Amino acid sequence: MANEVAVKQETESPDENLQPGRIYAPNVEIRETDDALWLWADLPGVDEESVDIRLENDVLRISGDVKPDEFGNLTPVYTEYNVGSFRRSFRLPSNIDSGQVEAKMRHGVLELRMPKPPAARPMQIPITVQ
Amino acid sequence: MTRSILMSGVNPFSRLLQVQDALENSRVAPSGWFASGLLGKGTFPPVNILRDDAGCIVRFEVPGLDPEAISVQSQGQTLTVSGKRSGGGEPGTLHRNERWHGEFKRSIELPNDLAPSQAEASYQNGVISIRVPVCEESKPKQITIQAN
Repeated sequence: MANEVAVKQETESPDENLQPGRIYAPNVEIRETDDALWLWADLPGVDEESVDIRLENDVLRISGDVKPDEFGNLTPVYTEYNVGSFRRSFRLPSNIDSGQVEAKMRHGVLELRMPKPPAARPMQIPITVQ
Repeated sequence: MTRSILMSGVNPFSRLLQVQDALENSRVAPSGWFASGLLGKGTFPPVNILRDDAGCIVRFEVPGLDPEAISVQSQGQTLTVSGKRSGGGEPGTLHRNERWHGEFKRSIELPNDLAPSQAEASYQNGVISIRVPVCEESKPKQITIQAN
């Protein structure tokens, strides 16, 4: 189990990037509360300026770029993971308003809060007893 | 590594691709001290060890940790990194979870020319980076000859 979680999934992007390089799909966690949809994505090595989030036609696209410069003149002697940029897209329910999405980036984790419009929230319908 | 870059028509000077290929090659065929699998490959989190003349850098990719919850200890030639990661933190219905939560601990035995007790660790953008310098005795030293 630990082995599957640890290995980065390389992803084939339908649109080719201008720069060559392997692209990985970040691991995500998606939860839904009554008022919002939450998404956390693991983007290790990516800082805030290198993250791009777009919501267009109900498709959420997350991308984060990693800089190769920090390798300098280091030689790898033992590696268990590779380093690369991240891309992933999700199709969201149609009622999320892109103007209301909040994004936070902390310690390599991107946290997105996508509030649901009031009409989509579950409403308790009171039962009157006759 | 160079063979495949030159033949694929891709810009051979692409720095990121060169770095990625070098990392991938040493994943498949690790060299040196660590090649005999002393580290227990497959345990979590995955580690990368890189070397230059001044020492080595040990890296773990563990985003989302609280920096106070990370512990890096050295004992002799062994470096031990441990910590705890909790989940997204919001209650609610779980749709998908690919992020692991929980405690982790990994120990690495470093070669004798490194000095783990002088290591410096930092946590940036979710990557724990530990710089271990070469120990004093391993640096080349000029020994003067007394001529009588």
